[in-house]
Amino acid sequence: MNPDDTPPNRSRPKEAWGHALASRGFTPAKDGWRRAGMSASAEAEWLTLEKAVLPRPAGGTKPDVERRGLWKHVTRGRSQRLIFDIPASLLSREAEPGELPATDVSLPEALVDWALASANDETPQGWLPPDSELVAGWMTPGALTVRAGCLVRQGELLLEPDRWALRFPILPAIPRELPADRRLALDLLAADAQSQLRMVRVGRSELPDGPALVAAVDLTGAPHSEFLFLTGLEGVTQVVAWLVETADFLANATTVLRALEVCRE
Amino acid sequence: MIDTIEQVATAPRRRNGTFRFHARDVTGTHAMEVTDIQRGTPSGAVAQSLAARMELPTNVPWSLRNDSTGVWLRDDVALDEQVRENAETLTLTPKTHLGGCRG
Repeated sequence: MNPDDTPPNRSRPKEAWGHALASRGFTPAKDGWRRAGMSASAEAEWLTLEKAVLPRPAGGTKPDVERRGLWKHVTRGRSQRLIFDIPASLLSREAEPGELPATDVSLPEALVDWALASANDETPQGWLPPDSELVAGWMTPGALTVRAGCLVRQGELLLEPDRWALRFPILPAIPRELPADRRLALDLLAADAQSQLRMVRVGRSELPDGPALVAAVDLTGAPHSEFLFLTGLEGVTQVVAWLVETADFLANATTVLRALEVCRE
Repeated sequence: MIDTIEQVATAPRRRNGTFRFHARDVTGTHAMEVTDIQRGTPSGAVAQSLAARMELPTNVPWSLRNDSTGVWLRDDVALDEQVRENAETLTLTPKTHLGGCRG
């Protein structure tokens, strides 16, 4: 193959991100690109967009797990920021038939548009969810089932006109009588997991059985990419397998947990 | 050949939510009310998780049988699509094939 035939995205992902970001108003900076309170940096594996955020007002904002897109609060040391991570490998593979509807917008531009729109909890203009059969074809049987020890959790593919997301319960129902210190411990567990793993958001959400602790990857507004979807699926199933036993233990108020009593003192 | 696997007609599945049922192992040693299984969970995954809860070996495959009908549940089909909630007891049984040696 003639090197000149290689699509620019495949050979130079950083340049492809640079073009896409520049076309959306970002300017080069020392550590990446910047645009009105938002910064972007391209590593080998991820393009990360970032916004500085203030602490959330109590109960005043939508929980991360219910927002469109991948923006999420991440705690680093004493500071908290909003992060949107896109796997860079997306640019280094060919799209399969049915993926990425033909438009004038390149894939890196579509991904940046998705991040910018979802920063305002919106979707790029004209976005439609992928066909359900297409997405079903990307998954292996049992892909939405996670088993860890004696616990099993069933995830859901949410595919609606204005939603494309994967949601897994970590705790299908948080007991209403759960003591405050246990709830706090669950919130800390969720926040820690959300800060450590890319793309995946973890937090409380209202399910039919009441408040639940869930992990989610929300691709609403994203280009229809199998790789992106499967990366999100892998991330969210790992998080569920990692947290489910600890969360189940914390939610069992009949067990004694001295560590929390020590923290309270 | 006896094939007791069949579909059981039930009401359309409600999304999300958990599903309650009573389970025991084939010897009757362990019995429990199960309340935390998500609707849509395949029966095979439920069987393996129940084996772990009952401290039975998890390195062998397990299956669930509906006591009231004698039907073996299909591993790859959601549990709540095969049994009625809170109405039936399911028995956890190891998947074994009994038979003599062919000489």
